[in-house]
Amino acid sequence: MSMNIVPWTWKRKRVPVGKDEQSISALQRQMNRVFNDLLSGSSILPEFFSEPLTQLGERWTAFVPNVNVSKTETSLIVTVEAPGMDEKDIELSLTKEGLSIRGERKQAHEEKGEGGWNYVESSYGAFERIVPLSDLAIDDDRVTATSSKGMVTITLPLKESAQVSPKKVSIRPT
Amino acid sequence: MNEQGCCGSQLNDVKATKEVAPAVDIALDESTGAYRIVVDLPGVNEADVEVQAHDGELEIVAGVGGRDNEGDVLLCEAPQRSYRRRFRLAEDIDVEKISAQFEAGVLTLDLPRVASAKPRKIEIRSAH
Repeated sequence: MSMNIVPWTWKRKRVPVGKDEQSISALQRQMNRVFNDLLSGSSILPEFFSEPLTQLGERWTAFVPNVNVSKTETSLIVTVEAPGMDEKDIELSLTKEGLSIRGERKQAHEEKGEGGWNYVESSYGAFERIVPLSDLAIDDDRVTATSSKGMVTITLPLKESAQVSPKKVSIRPT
Repeated sequence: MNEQGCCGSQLNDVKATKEVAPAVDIALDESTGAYRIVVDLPGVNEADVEVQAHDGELEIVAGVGGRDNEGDVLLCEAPQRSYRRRFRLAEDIDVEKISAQFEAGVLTLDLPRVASAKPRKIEIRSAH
């Protein structure tokens, strides 16, 4: 049996998350980014659609963590960029739509009432991201999450039956 | 399947690592005049963070060591990056007393003013 890996079309189409995750705001962010790249003098022209929209332009929106996904033979590994947070600040659930990652990034010291921030570029707030799992058979009970350096890594082991190595097809001369 | 410049081990190639300006938040403590700067540096090891104050500028440089991404990269929104940002310091910032702490990918810098720059209450003595 060969496993059918559905193409991850959301590589280009962003996973719909956050409060303002609509196409217009994505465009807005991209535009912001162009301007910011120019303003900050880094002047690396954006390569549209080939790069993650993670740069300066996103700073004025609600916090939507960047996510990396990779797949090994035995598991799917999801890394969430969540500065100042650890795995306890994140709530995971497996739903019909996929892996749901929820949490809230809070601004440090805001609860202490130490006076306001005069200048804020980072974004904060509640978020949810869904990583579609397509037809991957996840071993629900063995899902783990760890964190280090503001990156939360979620490991979703695949069920053994799904760990099928590609079958080699021999080609016979006709 | 790895995208160029994204996540994979080929990023140990310095040229492939993009340098970006990290996001910062700044607070001014109005009673002491001290600044607090909070810098987002996710994925960075403490040992790879360098903060220098020289010639009236504060420079923050942080590199991201090689990330081990096993398997096929399916999505990469957080590619390997290095960070650099510079601030011009007010003349009365006490450079010797700038302190830094780093936790969970967030760098917090406290920049006090030199003591004489703090508002000082002047006692009025009686002329008698």
